[in-house]
Amino acid sequence: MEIGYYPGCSLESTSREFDISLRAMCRMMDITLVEVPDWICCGTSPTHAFSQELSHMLPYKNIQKAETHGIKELLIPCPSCLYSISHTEAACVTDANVRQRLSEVTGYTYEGGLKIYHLLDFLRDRVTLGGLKAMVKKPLEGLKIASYYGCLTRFFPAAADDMEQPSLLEQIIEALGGQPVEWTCKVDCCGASLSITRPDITKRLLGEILQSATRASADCIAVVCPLCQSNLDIRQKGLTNPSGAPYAIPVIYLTQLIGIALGAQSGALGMEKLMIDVGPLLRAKGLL
Amino acid sequence: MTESSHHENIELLTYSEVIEVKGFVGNFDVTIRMRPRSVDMSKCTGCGDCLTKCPAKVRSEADQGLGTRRAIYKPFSNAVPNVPVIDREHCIYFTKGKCKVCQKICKAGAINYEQEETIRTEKFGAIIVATGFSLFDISKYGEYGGGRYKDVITGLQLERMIDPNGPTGGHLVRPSDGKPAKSVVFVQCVGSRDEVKGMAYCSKVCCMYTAKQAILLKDHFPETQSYVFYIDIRATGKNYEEFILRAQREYGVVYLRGRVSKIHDPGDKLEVYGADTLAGESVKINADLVVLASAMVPNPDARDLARMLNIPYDSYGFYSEIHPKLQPVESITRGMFIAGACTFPKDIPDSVMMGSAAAAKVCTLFAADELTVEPKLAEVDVDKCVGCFNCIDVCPYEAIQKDTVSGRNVARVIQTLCQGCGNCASTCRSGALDVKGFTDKAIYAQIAAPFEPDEEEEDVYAGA
Amino acid sequence: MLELDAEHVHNLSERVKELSGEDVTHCIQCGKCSGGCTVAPDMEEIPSRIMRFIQLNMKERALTSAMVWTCSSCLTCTARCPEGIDIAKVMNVLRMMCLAEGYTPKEKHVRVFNRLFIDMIQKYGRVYELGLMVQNNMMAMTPFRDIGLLPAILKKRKIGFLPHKVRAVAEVKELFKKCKPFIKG
Repeated sequence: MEIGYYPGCSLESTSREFDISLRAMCRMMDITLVEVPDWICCGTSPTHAFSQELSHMLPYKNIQKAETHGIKELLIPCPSCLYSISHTEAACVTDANVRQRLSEVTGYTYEGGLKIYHLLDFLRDRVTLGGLKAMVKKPLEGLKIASYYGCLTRFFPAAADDMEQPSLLEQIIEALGGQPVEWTCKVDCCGASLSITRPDITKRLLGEILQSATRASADCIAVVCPLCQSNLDIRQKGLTNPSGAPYAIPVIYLTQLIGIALGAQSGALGMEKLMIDVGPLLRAKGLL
Repeated sequence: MTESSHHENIELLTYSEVIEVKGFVGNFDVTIRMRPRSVDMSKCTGCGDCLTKCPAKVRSEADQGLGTRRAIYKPFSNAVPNVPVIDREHCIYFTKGKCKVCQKICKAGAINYEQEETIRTEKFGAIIVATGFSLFDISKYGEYGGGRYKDVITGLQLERMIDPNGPTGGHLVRPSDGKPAKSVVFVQCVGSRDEVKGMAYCSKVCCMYTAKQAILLKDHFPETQSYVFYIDIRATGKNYEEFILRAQREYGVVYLRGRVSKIHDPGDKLEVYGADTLAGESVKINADLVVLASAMVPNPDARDLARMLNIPYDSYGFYSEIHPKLQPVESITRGMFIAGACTFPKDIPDSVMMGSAAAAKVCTLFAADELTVEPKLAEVDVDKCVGCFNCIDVCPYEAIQKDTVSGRNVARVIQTLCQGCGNCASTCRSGALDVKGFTDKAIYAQIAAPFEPDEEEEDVYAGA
Repeated sequence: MLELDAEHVHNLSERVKELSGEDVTHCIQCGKCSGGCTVAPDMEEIPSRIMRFIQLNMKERALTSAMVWTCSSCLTCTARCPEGIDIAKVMNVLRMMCLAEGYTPKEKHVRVFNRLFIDMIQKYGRVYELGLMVQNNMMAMTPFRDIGLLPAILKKRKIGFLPHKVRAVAEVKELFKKCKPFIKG
């Protein structure tokens, strides 16, 4: 299977392990990722607060580059990039003003029909839960996982069956043999966009998420967003629970968990790049 | 209820349903299915022995799922008639062929497993439809944990809990762990005033019953602290506004103006996140129990029933009256009346008023020897009628019949059913059908009038 | 004191509707957005209050509010609004109007950061995180903020020392030249 791939800026830097583990996972599943050549930043939140036109133009450029390269289906792992690009794609289809303006500026006319996937619905629809389960070599038995969707994933109906209590990530974790826990902060915002400008707010939000995961007795938190992961992981050091003890909850990408379950070496999944060391946990569960 | 069951002019048919209605005012042919109770009503003494011995337990509908009942049961303790019914879907005898304990225990020999349903058709002069309401399904609000969190309940469930005959014996406890509930949060407008995933309308009764519940809790359980999240307080009846103020002033109920955004259940207490727009702050409360005032909605089978009875309903499924202000209890079918919450959310005084009004209308109907109707009725000119019967297909009231005149097939309008809507007149290809008082000729003349040249105005002062 | 007159009272809500497509007059001030807002607990204003400012043509309060600028775009308000108003979109439009009309927001850090982020895209086509963090800290006068995290991040090679410039950076600069703040003027 071949699928177009738009990594986005985060997967190139602070979330490199998301890219590494995604590629490793696809290799194991015989999926060829066709990266959009010379893709540019999608703009994300700062552009949406600066210029409506630019917030459409940047994603549109990427759509243009993807289509010109023959890509008909595009996997976008970062929910923020996915939001920007799918928003523009939908606006082109429904809003004549937007369509005309973008066509005018870029000289390229998007005719519609580009299928855009979130990691979750890509796994459910193209890999299938049954197919995933069949590939598992090392079930994540005994691993209690808090499924963290983050605030944006729930806006994709294909990926989130319910905006407030989605269940797809839990289903995937179960297919991998893991044990999803019931916890309260599934779709709460981690404050990543404020991480640099208002770290005080971000720290409060992270504290709530980590406390909730602790209460639910989670061994680790599974994420599908590079911003959530880097925020929760990089900033976890220095945060303490209400009794004053420091948190040490590994924050792992879903693709890394899949990689482990499918029998990949941890080095191939970028596990060493995680700030909170996940080694002890995996060794304790016999997964390393 | 007991009074009506003993009244000499009232026959109470319980565990029964209407399955067909034909005919017209004064002459409705109503077919009723009387389902088998499996208990002989003429023998049962209402002693209640069978109720305690039945081994099959089922979630109680009357207790809103909070408690259990048996397979042989009475819907609630003071149900009328005082005769139980066997729920054949859960009865061990009917599902597995064993048990029969109730029959062994019954001293009156009233249990009859072979009882079958009976169908009866009778003529009735008028019909009053007062089929009531249901509650909005709170599981649609995932952000409130409706249906997931045990300690998030509906107002009706709270009523059952504080009833001494209820599932908790009248104790205010958390369904999750049975511990007493001290901090209670009431959330109004759940499913109401929500254009996105609920009903756009206001359910009218919640502001008042929430205040009542908060007052009752404080009265019976003085250590309770209640909070009410509201958007607007609708207290428009007699002494209603004063009642709300009493809740706030005398019973210490804290009213917060803002909708609740989400409820978390981390394990012990519930975390309620809402806002108080008056103070301009977001608010968090740790609650033992959360009570959702869920919207009043039409019954799930309201539309099916309405189609059977030929009563129009609105986009929500509420039954429509002919005129919302001047004829609130009459439906478009003559002789069929509507009352209560099946028309729109209502409280008890309003429902009683509508019921009384409908009854009075029926009395007026029956007191007359003749039926007076508006003359706006359809009429067939049999000379023009070609017998195509397209009119029968388009008549919503089944008021047109096939007839024979001088050997020809023609249409005939049943005047007691006709409501003068004009569908048939506009469909009739041969111009045989017309509505009295609104004939085609008259309508065309109305349309032509503005286009006629102005008449020369006579100058009355000319020549003066 | 808020003085209202028939000629002006609808101005801001009409303008916001024109630019965002969202009709703020539908807001019944229920507060559900405020109850779930990620940043509200740390802010002076709550989102429902901002919507009220728009309804009552209180332009400066709406455009410069720190809450509007600190909005994390988590879209929780949009997800829960019972009137179906895309509140997060309205927040973005307010920020754009603020910049376009030359007001000064009460929250400076976010404006500065956003500007740097966008400049980065214009220069390289992608976000150069190290440069962004360094420059932001300089502008915010907190040059040593987060510096403790830097060694670990660099050691794990999570961040590039040098920016990655896309080949088609000229096309990107073209887009920046042509773009206007709003699609509909």
